Amino acid sequence: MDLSFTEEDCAFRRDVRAWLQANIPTTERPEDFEGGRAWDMAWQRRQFNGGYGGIAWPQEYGGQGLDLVRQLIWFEEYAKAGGPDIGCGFVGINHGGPTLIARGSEAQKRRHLPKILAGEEVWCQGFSEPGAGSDLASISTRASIEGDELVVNGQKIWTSYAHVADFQELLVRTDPASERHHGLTWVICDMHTTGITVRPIVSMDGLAEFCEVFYDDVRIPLDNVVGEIGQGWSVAMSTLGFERGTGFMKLQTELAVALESLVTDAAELGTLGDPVLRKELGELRADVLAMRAMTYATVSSAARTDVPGPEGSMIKVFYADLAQRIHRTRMNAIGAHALDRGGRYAHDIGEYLYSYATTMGGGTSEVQRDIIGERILGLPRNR
Amino acid sequence: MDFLPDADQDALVEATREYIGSRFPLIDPPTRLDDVRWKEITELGWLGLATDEQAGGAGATLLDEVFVFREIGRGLVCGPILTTLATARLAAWTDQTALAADLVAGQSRVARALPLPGEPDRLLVLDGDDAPLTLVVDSCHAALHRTPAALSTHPGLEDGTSVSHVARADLGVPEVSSDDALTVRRLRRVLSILTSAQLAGIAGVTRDLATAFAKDRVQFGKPIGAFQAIKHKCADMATAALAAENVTYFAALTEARAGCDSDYNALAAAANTRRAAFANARANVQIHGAMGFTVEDSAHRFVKRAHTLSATEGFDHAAELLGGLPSAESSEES
Repeated sequence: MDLSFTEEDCAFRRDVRAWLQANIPTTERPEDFEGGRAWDMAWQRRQFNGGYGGIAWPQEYGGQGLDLVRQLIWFEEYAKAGGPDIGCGFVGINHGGPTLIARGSEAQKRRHLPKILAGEEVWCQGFSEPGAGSDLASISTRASIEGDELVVNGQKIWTSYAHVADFQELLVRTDPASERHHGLTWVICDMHTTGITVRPIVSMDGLAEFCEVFYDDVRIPLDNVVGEIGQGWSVAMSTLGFERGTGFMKLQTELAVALESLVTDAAELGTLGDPVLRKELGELRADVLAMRAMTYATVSSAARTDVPGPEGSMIKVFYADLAQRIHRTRMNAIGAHALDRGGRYAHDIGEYLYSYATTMGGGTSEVQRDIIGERILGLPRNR
Repeated sequence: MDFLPDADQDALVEATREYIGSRFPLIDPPTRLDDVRWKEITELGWLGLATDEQAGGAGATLLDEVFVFREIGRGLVCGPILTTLATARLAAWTDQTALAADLVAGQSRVARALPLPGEPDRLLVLDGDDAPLTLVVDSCHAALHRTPAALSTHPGLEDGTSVSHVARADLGVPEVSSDDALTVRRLRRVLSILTSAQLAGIAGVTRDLATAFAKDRVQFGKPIGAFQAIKHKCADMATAALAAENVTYFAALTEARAGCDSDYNALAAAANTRRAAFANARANVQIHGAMGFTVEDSAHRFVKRAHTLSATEGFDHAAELLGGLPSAESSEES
């Protein structure tokens, strides 16, 4: 075991730090959909042009071809420098892209990966349905094969950024006689195709980040299928594996930054003298360090084996709970400021409200606990 | 950066677990370390793996000791192993290499004396049987004394153990002492990190025992582990145990760095592993049901050991201390 970084890694860290200081956007992200998209994509393009797009992605598709330790260093510095939320680039960078790298055809990789990195394509995810949430395998959105096309009918929901997306990772049932996780197909859906209707849904933080999407005879070329027809479940699981695995590199550093800014706020507001709050901050700091240590272990494990394992579910459960506790503690520590959505803590209040999503997004904590119990501990299934 | 155990460390863990499994069974375990077992653990090097070789140690790392103490926690190994190890370290750091070498070689056991709230004149001595020496560690002072005569001896919280009361005034002149703040804090961090390792071990073994029982015990026609009420408890135990062991590794690795003088990571490991060990020990009793409440199962022993470890090192205060520190230094990232 070794916690030290090589001299080359340290030099990379210094370069990253200097570049971020000079390049992090100083303008406010516009609140309207198109303005927000343009702002997110401009920042993505800037990172790409600066040589920091897709740090661990293969070079032949526009990435930097570096290892996960460099990726970790990038995320740590990014969060410490106060880099903006990834916004509508999230799905392309964090699951669409990695899924294509792992399972896509050569043509699909060449077509999409460079554009995702260059900030030219926005992706969204189409997995959940009104009747298929935690029970993802019960999806009923149908796709029939007609010639060299799939024709899709049905509905997806909780699709973040669908209203500004160009492409979607869409999971559909291609075998009408199939049940559960058989007969599903993972396909790239062009969101500009005729027959798609998008309706944004406002969440409790007041933002309309996610949407429901309706499909009415939407025609998708068969060339867009990732993996084989009928192999969609296994492709979807590798997508979720990325979300639950190394995706935490960035999140864990963001939590550390959020917690330390909470400590600073408490000191400024004069509440740090309260031993109860001090104890709570200590417990949170302990868990933030544990989160970091577990992330390092996951990065090391991924560097050895390439594919994230089920232990990502433990980190996800731990992260989700910790994020909620940190934001809740902040709401308590700022007193009546917590009631003022236009005041000095407006951003923190938004993050607190958003934190209710952490135990749901990417698979609820209850589903994660089933996965931990059954796939890691080997307990019997009850379904 | 590679934050996973290497092959040597895996082998150390395996050998340690095998030894403990053969000599310290969880059912009907020894509650005192007899001379034969004391000699065995001395020969295994447990009293000074990371002590300097000139002072009789093996020149290994604190992380190697963490792996051994995690197994000690898992196996509920009894006796004054950690106190003797820490005293040898203190002797080595204060240039008493002959004493350090004697301690590492198991020549003398060292008991631990703890302050008793509300009784400033008294100390509570743990592992006092057969221990001619006693270690006292306050926030800025550490001293090794001849073990004073007991005023009274009572049953300890852990079954089969005893604790004794001694008068502070009877401690006499210390054999070794340090008022150097850096040395005392360093000693406390070694005690703290190796205690965290034991608590992480408790969190891990209770997860294993509860999970095994949940696969075995049938109610309502199926193993109780099929029900989410039990399955999710086991899942939370697994998550807590994973966090506990990794945060302890992190603290040990940063402590071993030259010039490290921060309590931050050791306190973080203390706060996290304390919570994990208590939560998992409690859940293990509950999952075993009424059987877990009896002495016929081992579940109660992990609860009692967690209290012993936590109270000995003052882990109840770790979180509050950590919350009052300035922000973590991030020297590993510069």
